[in-house]
Amino acid sequence: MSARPAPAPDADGQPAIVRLAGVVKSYGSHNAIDHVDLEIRPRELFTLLGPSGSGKSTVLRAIAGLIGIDGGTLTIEGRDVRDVPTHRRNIGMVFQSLALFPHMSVFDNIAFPLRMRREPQDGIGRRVAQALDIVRLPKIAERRVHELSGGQQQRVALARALVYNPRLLLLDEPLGALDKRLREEMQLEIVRLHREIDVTIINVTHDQVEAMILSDRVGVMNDGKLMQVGSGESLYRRPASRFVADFLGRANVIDGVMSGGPDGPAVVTPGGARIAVTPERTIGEGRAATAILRAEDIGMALSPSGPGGLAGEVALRLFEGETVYYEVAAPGVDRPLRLASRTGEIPVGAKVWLTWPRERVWAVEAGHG
Amino acid sequence: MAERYAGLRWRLIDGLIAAGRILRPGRLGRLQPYVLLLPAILLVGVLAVGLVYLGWLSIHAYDTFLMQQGGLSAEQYLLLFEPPSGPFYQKTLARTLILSLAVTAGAVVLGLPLSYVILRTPRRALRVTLLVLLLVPFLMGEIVRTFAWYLILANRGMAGWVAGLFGIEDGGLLGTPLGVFIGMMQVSTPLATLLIMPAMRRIDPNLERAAATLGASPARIWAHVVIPLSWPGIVAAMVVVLLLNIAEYDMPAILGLGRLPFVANVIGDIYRLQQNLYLGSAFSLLLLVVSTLVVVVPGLLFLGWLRLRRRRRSGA
Amino acid sequence: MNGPVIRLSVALVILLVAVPLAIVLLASVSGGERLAFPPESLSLNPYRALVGNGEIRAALGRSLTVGLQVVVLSLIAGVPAAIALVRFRFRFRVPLGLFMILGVATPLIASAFAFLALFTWTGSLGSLWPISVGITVVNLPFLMFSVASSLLSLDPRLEEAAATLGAEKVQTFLFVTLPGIMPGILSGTLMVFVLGISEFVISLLLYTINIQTLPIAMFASLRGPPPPEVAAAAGLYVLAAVMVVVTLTSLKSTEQFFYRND
Repeated sequence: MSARPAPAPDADGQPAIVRLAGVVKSYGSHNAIDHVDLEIRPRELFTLLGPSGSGKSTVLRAIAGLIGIDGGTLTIEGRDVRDVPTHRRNIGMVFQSLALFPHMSVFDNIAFPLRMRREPQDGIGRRVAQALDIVRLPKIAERRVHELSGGQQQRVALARALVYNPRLLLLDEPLGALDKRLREEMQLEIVRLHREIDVTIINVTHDQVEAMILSDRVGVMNDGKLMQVGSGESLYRRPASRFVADFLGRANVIDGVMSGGPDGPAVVTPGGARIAVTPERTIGEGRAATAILRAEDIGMALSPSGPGGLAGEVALRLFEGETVYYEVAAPGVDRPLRLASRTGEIPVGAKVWLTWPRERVWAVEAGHG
Repeated sequence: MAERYAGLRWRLIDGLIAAGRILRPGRLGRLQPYVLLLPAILLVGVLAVGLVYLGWLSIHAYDTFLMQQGGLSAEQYLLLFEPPSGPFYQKTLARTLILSLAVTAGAVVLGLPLSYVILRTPRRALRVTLLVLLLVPFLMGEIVRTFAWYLILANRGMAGWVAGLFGIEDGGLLGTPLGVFIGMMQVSTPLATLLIMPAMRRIDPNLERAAATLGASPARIWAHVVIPLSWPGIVAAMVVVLLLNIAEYDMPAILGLGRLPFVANVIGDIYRLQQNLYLGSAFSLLLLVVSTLVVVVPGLLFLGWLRLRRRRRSGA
Repeated sequence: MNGPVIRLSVALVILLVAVPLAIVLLASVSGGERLAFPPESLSLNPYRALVGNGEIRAALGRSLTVGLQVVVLSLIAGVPAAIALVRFRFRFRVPLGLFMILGVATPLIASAFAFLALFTWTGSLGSLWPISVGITVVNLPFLMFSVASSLLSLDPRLEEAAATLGAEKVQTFLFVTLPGIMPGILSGTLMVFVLGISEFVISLLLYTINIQTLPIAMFASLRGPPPPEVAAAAGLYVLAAVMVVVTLTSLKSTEQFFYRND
């Protein structure tokens, strides 16, 4: 999948379409949303990413008005929506279970929001047809919901949420229940829709690949807190915390202490191994830090090919198809290092030398999650 | 289809919404569920008030000749417990309890395999037939059920005819405890089955298959898998069926030919023959207390114990 | 599943339940002056006698009236109550829920006696309404249970979706929730109606001569050998019950509820 087209207009150009400031939502003593500050820019495709229970769905539902918030402010298009009930917020939402009305036909489902808004009769038919065209399902208006395939139902749900031209479209893990092929197809659909229509999309998912593919920006959440916001690539290459680094892609997360040296900064593990780190990263000498080494960045050879690497012994080899997954035990590092190899010719038990380009090794100061 | 949503209908709905807004500013929204429950509360409240009134009546004396209410006294309850009339009432109560327990036991014993068959048979025709046969007795009405058994058990009815085939004279079962028992089984068994089914339904069929592969005979599978996992349903069945049987009226009256009155019959007679609402109240309340203590409380306690045991097993 | 014990039990139950049904239906079409087994002949005479007997016809009419009154009262009280207990969280939820079951937890004779005493005191005896009220209270949980199950199996996301699509609470209820719980309402109504037209104990205690319902009329005539009209009335009850049950079980959802064979 190729990179996204030009990013959405910057925040200082236009006001944010959704702004959360210090938002808190608690259930008993537990904060489902823990002081979140977030701005969503107009026309961007923003994804909230995180594991189950991280609060991402809760934030979405708060924006939709399905739940109230206990602290902070939430504004949509500049106005505080605390007292605005869901049905007046003019948002579109697609749920994971789709929530298509089973007792109505496809036409009635899509026409529902227009009827609720007392649109004149003659307009409704035309607009429903338009909505079906946009999601590329022109001929199924008279069918019942249960007669449709999963993919068709997805599109109907999207059509229903878009037919009244909301400024904001919220997607609550709509692709979660689909199989791989259908999911990829729908991801493309969402990207296409976003390009064709003037709408801001907030997507919620636990699938980090989906997040990086679809979005202009991604916000990673954990345990109610927003850990980091940025483009998929910046989150991947420059994670601000251990959690974000670990959540995206396959990373080796190595704890130790920052130490300068003639060959540049490095993280020294308790076991004495020295992991060279990119010079870009300046963390004070002696501070606890974590080196982040991506699996795809590590090279493996049978003989050392230069300074700055680590010796180790192959502990595990798994053929994955496109790559071969290895785990290599290295003295001084408490957990085996994971790496992905394209060739995969080295067998288990072999003594190997691991190297990596030091600019690719990021470091995170301990205590930042 | 387009016309439906225009005009009058929408104006009505707008009216409702506006009314809703007037009646429901902020805090009053909290009262919503109570408002919804109000009609039901009023309705059931009539029964509650009636029961309290029964309590009031039962603690007064009553002069049956002058048909006059006396002062506060334990007279009614004394009549129920002390001789000369006490033994009669106690015997009635005992008869009611014993027969009801017997019917309950029988219903559960028959209900278990029936429930199992309905839940597990792949043959749809069988399942639907059994379900229909189960549900119809409920909706027939007591009197029709009783009428049916009257016909069967009478001398001139089926039982007599069958007995006659074997050369037995006077083989009708009317007037015998067995006759009443059989009649009561007809509604108790379906009820027990319907109450056991939800619990049994939750049993993963793979558990039974696993037990079989591990060497358990069908009897063992029942003893160690099916019955233990159905306990909540079995207990619910026992409680509800017993509760219903204790209050039974028609079957003992008609099938017992008046020789085997249950508590309900006696209460009915107290009213019909003596117009004595006071004694009737006392006996009704006695029945209520007995059924609560003997049936409801043990049932709830047992279910609570089951849940506690399950939690303890999966927790600590 | 195919063990002899199980087969025997099932056969026994089928006999236990089916034989009385068959006997009643048979009796309702037997000719001859008196009912006997086997019947002397087959004829529709009992039904003709039923139609011809003015008293019995009047009693049937009253039973149908009671049934309708019970339906009306049950719907007004039961549907909102079920919605309140299922969809809302409020402090007295559990106690009030238990309170609703009072009619079923109290032995029927005690409830009937309570109504008798109360309505005697208020002097309301002599009309059909006290009977209907009593029957409603006792059978209300059935309707509530039916509506509640329907409500529970309704995806709550549907109502949320309706809200996001711009529907006010009233609109959501009318266009989304109500159609969704229709099956529960319908089956509950059928059950309550049939239970109402065949109810005995409360009708017995609360009746006066001119408000006899059909079950009471039948009861009175069981002192001696039952006349054919009574057999026909019983036959009608059985047919009504069978029709309702067949309707209920033919709903796809009921079928899926009962069968499980992962």
